[in-house]
Amino acid sequence: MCAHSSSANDIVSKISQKLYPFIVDQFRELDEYNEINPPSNKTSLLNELVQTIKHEFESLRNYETKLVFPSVQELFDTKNNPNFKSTVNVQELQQLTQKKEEVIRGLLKDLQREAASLHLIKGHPVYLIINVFTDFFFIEKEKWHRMLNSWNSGCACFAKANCKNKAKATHSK
Amino acid sequence: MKAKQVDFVTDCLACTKGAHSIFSMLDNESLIELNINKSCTSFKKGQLIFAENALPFGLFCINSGKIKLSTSGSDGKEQILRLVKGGDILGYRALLANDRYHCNAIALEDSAVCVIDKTFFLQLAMSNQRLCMALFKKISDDLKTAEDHIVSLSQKNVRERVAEALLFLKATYGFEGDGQTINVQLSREEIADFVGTSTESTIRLLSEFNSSKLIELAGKKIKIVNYAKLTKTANLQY
Repeated sequence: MCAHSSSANDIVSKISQKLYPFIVDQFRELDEYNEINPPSNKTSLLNELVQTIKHEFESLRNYETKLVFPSVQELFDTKNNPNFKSTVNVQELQQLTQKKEEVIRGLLKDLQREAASLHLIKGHPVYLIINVFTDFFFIEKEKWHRMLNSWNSGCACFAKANCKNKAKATHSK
Repeated sequence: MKAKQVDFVTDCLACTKGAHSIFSMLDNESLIELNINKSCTSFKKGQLIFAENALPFGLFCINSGKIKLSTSGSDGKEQILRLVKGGDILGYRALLANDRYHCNAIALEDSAVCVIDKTFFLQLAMSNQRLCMALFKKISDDLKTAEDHIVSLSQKNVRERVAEALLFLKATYGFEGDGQTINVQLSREEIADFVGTSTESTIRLLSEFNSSKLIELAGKKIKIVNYAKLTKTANLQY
C-alpha cells in the first residue's frame, strides 16, 4: 500500500472512529450538565451557539463519513487500477468541507467570547468542547487537508503507476 | 440653508383622525385627556429614541418619520427587528411586561414622537375596553409577524442545507456526460438524510429550486442548471 493511501486510512480512522465519537461524547456531557443545571436566560446565547456548533459538526461529520472519506479512500486505494474511473472531485470536496470547518471555527470564537463574558468555571463542559475542537479537531483536519493538497498539487506519489512510496517515509513531489 | 422642519401635529384629536393609530377609536374626551398626559419631541435622523436595557417611562407614539428597532447579534452585527412609521406605537412590550427595552429605537429620518405617561396609559388601557382590544390586536399582529419571521428563518436554514447537500453530491459523484446532471440517483429520503431534515421539507425545497431554475428535476435525476446561484444559496460563509 502506498504511503499516501496508508496515511489516508490512518487519518480517516483516527478522525471517524476516535475523534468524532469523542466530540459527540463532549456534547452529550454538556447535555447531561444542562439537565442538572438548567440553562437560564443569561446563558441563552451560549446555548444557542453550542447548538449551532453541534449542528454544524454533525452535518460535517455526516458528509465526511458518508461521502468524503469513502470516496477519497477509494480513490487512493485504486489509483493504480487503470480500469477504475473516479468521479470524485477532491478539490471541490475539500473546499466544501473547509468552508464548513471555518463556520465551526467562527462559531467557536463566539462561544469562547460568550463563555468568558459569563465567567464560566475552567472545567465547564463548554470549555471542554472548545478545547477538543482547538486541540484535536483542527489539528487532525489540518493533517487531512495537507494530504489532500498533495493530491491536488499532483504529487509524484499519486501520479506514478507503480508507486514506490510504500514506506512510511514522506512523499516526494 | 434653512433646516428641514419636522411635520408635527401635537393635537391628538387631529393626529389620530383617520390614522391607523390604536387611539383612533377614542372619543374626544379621552383624546383631550391624552393630550394633557403626553409630551412631544422631535428626533434627528440617527438619534437614539430609547436604548436597550433602559426602563420605559411611557409609551412612544410616532407622529411622523420612520424609526428602526434593532439589536446586536452574537457577531456584533446590527439586526433590525422592525421598522415603524407615523401612527405606530413604540415600547409597549417593555411597558406592559414591566420589563426593560430589549432593543434600540433609532430615528431613520427626522421624526416627531409623542411620549404618553406610563401610569396614564396603563389606566386608560384598563378602563377603555376598545383601546384594550386594539392593544391586544396590535400585540397579536406583532406576534404573528415574529412567528412568520421565525418560520422563514428556519426554512432559510433548511434551504441552505439542501443546496449544500447538492454541492457535496456533485463534488463526490460528478456530472453525467451533459455536464449538468449529478451522476447519482438518490431517493428523496436519502437526500433528506444527508440534509438532516424531513423528506417532506426536502421534496418541497427541491421543488422550489426547480421552480426558481436552480435545478431541473426528472425523476431521481437532478440537473444543476445554475451552479453559481446554488452555491450562493448554500451560503457556506461565516
